[in-house]
Amino acid sequence: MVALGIDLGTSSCRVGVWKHDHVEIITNEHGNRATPCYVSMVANKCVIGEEAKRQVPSYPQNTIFNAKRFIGRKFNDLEVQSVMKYYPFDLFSKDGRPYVTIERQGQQDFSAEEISSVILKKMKSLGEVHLGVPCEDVVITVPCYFTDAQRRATQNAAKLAGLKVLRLLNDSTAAVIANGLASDRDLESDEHRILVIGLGAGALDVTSVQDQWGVFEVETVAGDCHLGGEDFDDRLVFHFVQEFWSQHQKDISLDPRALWRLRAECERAKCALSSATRADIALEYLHDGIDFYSSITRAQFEAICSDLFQRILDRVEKVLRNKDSVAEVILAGGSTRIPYIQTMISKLVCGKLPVKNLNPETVATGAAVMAAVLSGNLSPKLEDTLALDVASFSLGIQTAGGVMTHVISSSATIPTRKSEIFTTYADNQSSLIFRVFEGDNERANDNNLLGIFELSDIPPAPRGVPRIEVRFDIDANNILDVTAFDQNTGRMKGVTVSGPAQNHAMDDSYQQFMDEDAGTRVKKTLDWYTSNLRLLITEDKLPGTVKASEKASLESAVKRAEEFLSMAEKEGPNVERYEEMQQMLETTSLSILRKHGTAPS
Amino acid sequence: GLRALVHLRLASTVSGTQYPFPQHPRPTPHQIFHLSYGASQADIKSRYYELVREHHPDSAHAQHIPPSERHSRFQAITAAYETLTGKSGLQFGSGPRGSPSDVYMYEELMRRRR
Repeated sequence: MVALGIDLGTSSCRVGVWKHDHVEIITNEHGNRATPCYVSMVANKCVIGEEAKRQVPSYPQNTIFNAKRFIGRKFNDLEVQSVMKYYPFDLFSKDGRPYVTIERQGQQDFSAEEISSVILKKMKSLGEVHLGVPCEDVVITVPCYFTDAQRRATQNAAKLAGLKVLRLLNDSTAAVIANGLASDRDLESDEHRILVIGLGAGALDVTSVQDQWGVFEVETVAGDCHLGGEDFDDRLVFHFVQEFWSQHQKDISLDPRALWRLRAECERAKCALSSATRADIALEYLHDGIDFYSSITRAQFEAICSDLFQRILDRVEKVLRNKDSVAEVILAGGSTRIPYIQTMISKLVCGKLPVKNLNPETVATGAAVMAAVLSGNLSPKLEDTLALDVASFSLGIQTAGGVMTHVISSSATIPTRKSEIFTTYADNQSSLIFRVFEGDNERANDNNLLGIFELSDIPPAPRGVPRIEVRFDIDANNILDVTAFDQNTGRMKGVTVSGPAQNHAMDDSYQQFMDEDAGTRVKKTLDWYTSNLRLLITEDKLPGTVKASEKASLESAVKRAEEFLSMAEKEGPNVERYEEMQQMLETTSLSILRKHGTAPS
Repeated sequence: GLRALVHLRLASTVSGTQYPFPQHPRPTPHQIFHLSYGASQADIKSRYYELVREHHPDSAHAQHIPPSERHSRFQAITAAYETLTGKSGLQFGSGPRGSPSDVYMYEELMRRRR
């Protein structure tokens, strides 16, 4: 069975296949090796790629592009909200997710998944025409920093297109595989560290990879899946919208057609500035019959985007600082052609390291190689192609005081499975609610909430006694599966933590809860917990084995909390201090109760 | 030269792998690595990559094994590697890591459900 490798980018898409011992990038019907990610739907006709892109000026509201920027996101995400005003098509919220709406016969509302699936279907048919056989199996590349939801949505798009995803491969891993295949690797070498910087239209990936003993081992990934060429275009568009306003007192951002033409011109100017120091903008009859002529210098462009460039360099520097002995730097993606970025990266590595620019097809090439490997191609050329990838984010559960307790740490080799034991916080508590997060921040709420689930029917027991094992499984696609089970009863609960079919009822009541004043919430929590512990002490309900010294330390912890509560009443709310106190109290009480609760009587 | 050498070595191990995964349940890290207790960190590291090449779920040498078995073998190898290199902070039989979320939320959600 032949499998295809697809580089599904933000602005363009490429498909490749391993044939005659090398990768062939398949051309589309126009002879182009990259197909623009544009889908245009007018009346009952749907066109994709170049034709769709050409249709934008005539049908700006019926032509969708950059769907990858919305896939797997919530409508209210800052990333969606901040860019939607620059797009000529209309986005709206359905079940909290962004949808586009198109005025035409038949289906009018489309999710980003559906738009992406149309593009993937096109890639599938290009592959089938090229090979002359049906193709279902694919490897699709995604930015390293794609979240669980974005990965699931991409998989779903492939499914809608009738494809079977053999692997969601990280862009930079694909680039390293392709680069390794093209160069002479020393298979017996220990430690050859490569830094891959991928900057395309939509996302930034910074990855450090070790090539040792014939295995590519990804060490760390850093990045931003909403930082790339499209953001530079947005800045330029904004710049010229303002300029138009100051010249003519007319706002073209309300004119979809003008906005699109300006956007296309800005992209062209941006590319021109990679070789020239000045680019002209010329748009006749842009808006209200007014011709618009302007120009921009490279220095101006760098100034407009300076904070974005700085963000990119900060990420690179962060990875470089923690990694010594980098032997090679490779740059992948169209936006790495920007001279300022190249200069700054050379400066960061002190001009010592070779900085290599890969051709734009590298990612698709890597995907095609991986597709061949995973579909069982035994070509000797592919024998040394093995990549150990890592979890892109830490994954964990919120525990006392809003702390993120990691179950899997970022940079753990995948596929992986890890377990942690959790317990109850109240006597005879019958269920536990778990909030699963992804992200590297210490405070759970600063991370991305993947989902909430509940394990119920826990048999009555003193607090701290039940042992609830929570198991995190990350597959090779970096997609998480969580199961929880009661070690005493064996009762199990499997959960899919994200995706459209998640637990809405739980989400709603949780949201209501979170909307309440945070100050009230932490206060009530601490109040409740303290009074319960106090009751346990005064009514002498502590397990008989608790030593006097332990009882005393429990007593003093409770007392500290009580004093804090009465003091805080006067001083006004301070969420963090409440949480600190809660954490102190839980740590102390749990360590004692756990010890005695679990010991055989 | 080197590449050919490695191919020769890999080709010779396609049918019977060089470091087969132990058949008995609960093998020790050293048994998985086919190393004695005195093995150096350098030995452990290079053996790890040899094991990865043989047993990684994507490896051509592991394709005849059912996927779930491939995964659990690989996970056992990475876990053993963590133990042998001292990277694993997890002790067996350790107690609970605390309780999830907070009490008030639990109470509130229960109340609202009623």
